[in-house]
Amino acid sequence: MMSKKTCAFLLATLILGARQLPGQKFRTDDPIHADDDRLDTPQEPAHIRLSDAYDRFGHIFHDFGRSAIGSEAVNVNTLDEVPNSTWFTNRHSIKRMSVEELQRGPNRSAGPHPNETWTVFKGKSQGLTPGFEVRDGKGDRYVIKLDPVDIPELSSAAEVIATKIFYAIGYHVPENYIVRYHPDRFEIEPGTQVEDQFGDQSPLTRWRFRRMIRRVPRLSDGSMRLTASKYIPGIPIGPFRYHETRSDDPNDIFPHEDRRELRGLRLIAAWTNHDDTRAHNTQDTWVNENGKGYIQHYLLDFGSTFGSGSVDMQLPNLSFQYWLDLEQVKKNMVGFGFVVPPYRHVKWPEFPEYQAVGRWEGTYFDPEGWRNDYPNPAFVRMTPRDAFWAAKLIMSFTPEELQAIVETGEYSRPEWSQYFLKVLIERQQKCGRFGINGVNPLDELRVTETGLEFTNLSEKYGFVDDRTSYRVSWSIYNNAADTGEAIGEAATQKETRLSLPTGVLTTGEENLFLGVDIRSLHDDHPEWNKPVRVYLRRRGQSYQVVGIDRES
Amino acid sequence: MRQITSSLSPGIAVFIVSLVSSSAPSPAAQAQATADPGASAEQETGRKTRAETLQEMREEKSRELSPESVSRWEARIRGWEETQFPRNWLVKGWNGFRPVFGGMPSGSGFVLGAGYIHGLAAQYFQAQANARFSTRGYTMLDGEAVFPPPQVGRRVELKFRAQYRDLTSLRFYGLGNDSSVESQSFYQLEDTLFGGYAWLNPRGLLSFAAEGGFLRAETSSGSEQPSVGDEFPAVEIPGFDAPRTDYSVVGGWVEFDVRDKWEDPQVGLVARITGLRYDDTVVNAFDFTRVVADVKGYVPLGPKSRILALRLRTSHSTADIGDAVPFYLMETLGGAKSIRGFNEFRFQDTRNLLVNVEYRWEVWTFADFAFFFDAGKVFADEEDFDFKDMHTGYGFGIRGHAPGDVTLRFDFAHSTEGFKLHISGGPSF
Repeated sequence: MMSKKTCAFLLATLILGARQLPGQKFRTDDPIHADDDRLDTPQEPAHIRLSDAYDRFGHIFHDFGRSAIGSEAVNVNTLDEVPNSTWFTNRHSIKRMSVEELQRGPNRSAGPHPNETWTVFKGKSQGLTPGFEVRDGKGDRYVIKLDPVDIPELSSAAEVIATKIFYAIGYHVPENYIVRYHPDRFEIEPGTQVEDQFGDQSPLTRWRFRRMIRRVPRLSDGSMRLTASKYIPGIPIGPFRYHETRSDDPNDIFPHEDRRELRGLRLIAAWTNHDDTRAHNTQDTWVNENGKGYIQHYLLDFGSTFGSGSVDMQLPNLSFQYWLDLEQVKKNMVGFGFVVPPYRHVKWPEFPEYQAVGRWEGTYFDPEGWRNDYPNPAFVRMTPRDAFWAAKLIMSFTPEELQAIVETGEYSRPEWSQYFLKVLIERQQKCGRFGINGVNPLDELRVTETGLEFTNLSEKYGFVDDRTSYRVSWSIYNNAADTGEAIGEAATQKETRLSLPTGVLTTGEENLFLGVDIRSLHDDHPEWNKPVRVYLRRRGQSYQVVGIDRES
Repeated sequence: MRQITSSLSPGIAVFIVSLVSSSAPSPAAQAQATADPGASAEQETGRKTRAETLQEMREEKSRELSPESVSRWEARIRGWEETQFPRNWLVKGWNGFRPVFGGMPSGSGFVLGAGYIHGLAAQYFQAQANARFSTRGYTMLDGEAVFPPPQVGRRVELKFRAQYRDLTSLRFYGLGNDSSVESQSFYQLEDTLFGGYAWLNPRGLLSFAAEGGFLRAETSSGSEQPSVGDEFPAVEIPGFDAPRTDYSVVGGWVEFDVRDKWEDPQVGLVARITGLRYDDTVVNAFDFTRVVADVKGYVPLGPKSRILALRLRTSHSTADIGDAVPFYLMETLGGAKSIRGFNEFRFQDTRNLLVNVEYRWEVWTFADFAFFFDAGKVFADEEDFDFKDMHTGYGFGIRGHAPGDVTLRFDFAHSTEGFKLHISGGPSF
């Protein structure tokens, strides 16, 4: 007997993808651009706390995902895109953000003002890098993060740049600010406790606070550079896992490992070297809005991105292998040292000159071979279609836009910014090439006055020469019966504009659509011969692209 | 006519339709079913908008919600993490009181004890006191204070140490390079030490230290048989059965360190020369000077995943004219940190020479494998300071290590005296 949960899962598998429901492939509201997953959740959900060790070791030895590897994402619309939801909001790729908007990112204010008194209400002193939380003059709460004492700017720049990129792509992220603040301005809230590295609490006195921050480098005016991460809205209820669904969230109907935005995150994480993409760096919050409660999903903590490892430079092996990479371990064991782990070949930038940028390079970077901390169930399920989606988002940034984002990292030396940007673009190109060339790369389909136009993204971004030609065959698609009837003979052409067949459909035939299979013919990419199938629905005197089937 | 087929097989489609039909129908679906009994569930589903269908799925799920939780195992492990088990248990203990493991001379057997530590999270100093007992019946009481604590960056390190040991059955095979394993005997060493050092620029490129202390030592027949006195004439073993002897110890060391890192280095070299002067203040028969040179080099063979680690160590203790170096203060060869194919304390004399070569290769971030070759000799005459007549051993090692140089080492070694397995903490060198 199949449980209702499983039924829901199987149905969900069919819903947004709109492939298989007998009788009707497309609904009247397709393609949907927003999935309203804010059904009222009046009860405050359970607060969960995950085990770090269980999370790390568990995924190394067991795949917690339920769907088959190679199966497609289930939360995409009929255009094979991700609708807006509490997980993801299409931003830069849909409506281009201005440079100012990209630089602002999620920030809704100027951040905590450096001339105000900040009141410390929580602290921890673990090793050499302390952390604490403050309330600014407006009463807003921030988590204060500090750079490694010996490598100023390393993690603060990484955190802020990554925040801007992930926000522009569409993920929900906290507001992160780089602030220069004079240590004398801090006040300690009476009763504040500080936690040492053993988890013991003791009163945080002014003297002790000064001891905590005494090794933090000071700028010429005596201030400290720090990152202020604003508390995210809502009540924190714990991280989300990259697999299954929350049992107490009615809106959470798609298994997380089968969400396109979490699968595609693998390629985006590879681009930004966000190796720490695991459950512990996510956060769900219960938001109560206009008397309606729902769960919002965030990515948190971008300190371990690019060349930063948060408390030090990124470890050289991470991002080239899982933290416990059993396959690599086996090879190493029997290799007697002659099987050299790939990361050992990497030539990093010169240290200490480029310590602030950290272990950040693009020459040895391979998007396919890139690894995060552990086999994330969503990441291991990334298909070529998921990668194509992610690659489009990655390539949506121009070099000028990326430069503007890198500037928000506020590196004190221009050569650091330049090097950072150079590597970011190198890796962008590699990720774009990997994701876009992995499938028939036709996209940006639109009906114009002259017909159906499309773009070969691989040619657009210069990943191939312009020798692609296209094999086109039209049909009439019966949405009620899920059948098609070919119109005329297939034709081959060089242009990326197709004339629409005339007189085929008349108004009133709601269930009849135009369908067109487009195969890309390129000597270097035989895999592009798999067709992109486009469905056009008649809207008055014109047509609307209503669906795209793309084969992996 | 060309059929555009669905990518879903008909069987699965029917299966899913049946699932959809079997799930609880929405009020809208119930109304429709009443109005048109012949309409199938899938037709009904097909007429809905995408948004309506998704909404229905969510409403359906909302009727079967259950509190989100973690598995029992995950909750249990999480509990351990929150108590920082086992780190807190081992390092911090209960209000500073904690179990201690090891810390006695190699060959003591399994060592367990209890201690108190103060200042783990403090900025200025750290102090600890421990009592240890071993399965061979050894006892050790020790205490030390370090300024500043090890976890804080420093320019100078001051350490004071007090220690009492009752080592009831130390092995002794006789003096000289040709001693026989058949001559194994035992003795008891009871000693007390008060000392300390000041180390300038510790772990810097060039560092200097001065040390000094007071040592009281006494030997007697061991708790195991045969005793040293049974196997060897007492007159041939300087210091055996001698009256309790007090020593003042002064000295220091100079260290040159160009390793890439202190823990698990992969390239570089560290060389230390130590000089110590022992003055016997009671018997006036055991005044001597010791000079030790210890050089360790780490050479990556291509990438740093393959390391050739080399060590050359030599120790020379020279007694004043008319005096002797007591046997219990002679350095020894054999065991987990010297020639691993031999027992601990297997060879001893006033001088020794040790060579270790290890080919280490990376297996994991926290684990290495190694092949090793050890060679060494002991001698009394300075003229024997050469590479002739070396005892050799070789073997294979597995090392697990974590940040902070907490190493667990398994070395399987072979020599002319058979196979040895050493399980120990800390690096081989």
